[in-house]
Amino acid sequence: MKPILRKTYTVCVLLLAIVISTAAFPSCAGNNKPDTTVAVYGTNVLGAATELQKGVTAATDAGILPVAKAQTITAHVKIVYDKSGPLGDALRAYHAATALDVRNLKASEIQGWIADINGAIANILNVSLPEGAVAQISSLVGKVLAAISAVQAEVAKGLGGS
Amino acid sequence: MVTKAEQTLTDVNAILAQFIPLVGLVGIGVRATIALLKENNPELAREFEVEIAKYDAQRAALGAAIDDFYEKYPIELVE
Repeated sequence: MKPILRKTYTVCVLLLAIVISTAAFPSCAGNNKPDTTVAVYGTNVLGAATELQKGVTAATDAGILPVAKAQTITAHVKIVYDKSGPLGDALRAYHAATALDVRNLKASEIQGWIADINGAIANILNVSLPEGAVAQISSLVGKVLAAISAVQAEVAKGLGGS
Repeated sequence: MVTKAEQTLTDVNAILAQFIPLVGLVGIGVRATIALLKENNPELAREFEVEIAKYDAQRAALGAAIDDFYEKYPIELVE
């Protein structure tokens, strides 16, 4: 094969590979794919927080978690609830945005709300629990933290982080 | 006013231009890519809407769990 033909062939193959990979993996095409991943993980966070709140209520009902401690934890869970509203709005705006700079702005906003939610959950860890409630509540808090970590990892990837 | 398709074209063109500085060939690649993306986007958009609906439902469930707690243990009753 002549050098010029080989070079043209190489370029065509490379171009075809990019076109195919972009179609097969739309995320390779930048922000063209609606980021359903964040919504999925966001649902997981809310689900874990709901289970935590139900656990707090149950532990209080059972008398193993003092009311004052339960109220402190619930106040932090309520912050998760309050922040999840704007987070949902930002997700919708991210999805609806057509301009790349707007999408990047909304992605940063989403990460900000997630950081706020993460802070509220971390504060729950600072609440000292009576021995009878430690295992049950810590396990539920751990599940929320795991869900939050998954969201942060996904959003960081979306913003070009690792 | 830039349509979504035009913006998509611009975005994809910019991405491809980073890799292959051959404008003529890029044009062919972009047209093929846009056609494929346009086929894919409605499905992805529906997927997003479904996930957002689940998110809203889960948020409502969390709100209900918090309300349930405060009904039983109102904050005013604690010193």
